[in-house]
Amino acid sequence: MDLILRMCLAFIKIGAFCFGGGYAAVGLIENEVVKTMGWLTPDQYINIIAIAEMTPGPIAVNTSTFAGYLMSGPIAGILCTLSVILIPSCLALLTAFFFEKVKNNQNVQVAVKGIRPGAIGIIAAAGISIAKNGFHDYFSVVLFAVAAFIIFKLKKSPIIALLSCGALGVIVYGFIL
Amino acid sequence: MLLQIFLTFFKVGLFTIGGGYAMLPIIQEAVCTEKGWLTDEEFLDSISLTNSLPGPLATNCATFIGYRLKRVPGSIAAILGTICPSIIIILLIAMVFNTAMDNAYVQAFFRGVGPAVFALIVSAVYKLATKANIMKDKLTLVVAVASFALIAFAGVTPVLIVIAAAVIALVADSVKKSKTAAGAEEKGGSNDGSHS
Repeated sequence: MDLILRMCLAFIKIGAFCFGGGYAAVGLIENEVVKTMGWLTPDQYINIIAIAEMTPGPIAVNTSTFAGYLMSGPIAGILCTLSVILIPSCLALLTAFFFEKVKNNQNVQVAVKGIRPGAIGIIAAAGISIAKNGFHDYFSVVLFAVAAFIIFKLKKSPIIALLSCGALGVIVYGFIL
Repeated sequence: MLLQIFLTFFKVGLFTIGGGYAMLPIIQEAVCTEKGWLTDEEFLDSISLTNSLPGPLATNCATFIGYRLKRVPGSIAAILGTICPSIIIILLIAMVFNTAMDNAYVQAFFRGVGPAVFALIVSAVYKLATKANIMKDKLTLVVAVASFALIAFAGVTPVLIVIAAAVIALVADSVKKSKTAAGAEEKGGSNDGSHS
């Protein structure tokens, strides 16, 4: 019970500071749940991101549900999800409530735009740990190049990149090596 | 009506892969075109406002639209509709995940996926950096690099980074404003402090 409460508090904090889209949540969860608390291993977390990206729904919601489940079962999965959207939803309610007043508040827009480079740093920092644990051998570098080619050059959906690399992984690691 | 709101957002949650911005056209289609609950203009207003909030854009947008339709109960129905498909699908996958990971081929699949996940992170950083115009705006570049270094190498908590980045932006903006105001006064004109 104590663990679930601490998990909920962690996810409430993640939700409150998650500016800059789904991957900001991916970065914050990595920092809090993997690095600081050690509730999930980096390997588990990489798999969670892959599945959250390949399934329907917001990536922050999917990641929270999955992380919560792996940490402490289905109830924890649901509670972590509700926790992550708690503060954002309350703020969205207040925004709807004070619609006319906040409509043209420039300070809010300046601050939010200013947080963006911070979000870049948060995601990039999580990238280090993901690179450390996602690369296993020289073939990983080839797979990274394939994924980057699919995303940046072919401009295809990330799901195509994940599925292609997964299929190559099955062929090479499952049958050849 | 509450059930209708729930079902509409349930459908949105079920059929959008990728989340965030991928969801917006689908919400617009469902809420404005199909149901006629909001005009396109009201919808755009709701996005430009909820876009400034932390958290998932899809649930924020759902909260806002739900409130406009049926106050707080409407919000709750819309939020639950948006997150229920995710929760159900992820819980089903999570239940079989550990067993599936015992299989050598599933392990091989996820071993292959790891580098692709890193590519996704690179792409997310690249997209945000382009959007923030990082190469043209020196302050943005400095804040981004400093944030990265402080979190990755000095163990600073991201919470502090978010607060500091917001404060820096506000200070920089007010300095810029007072400069343009002073410049305008010298020319004898008035400036209302508009900025880009």
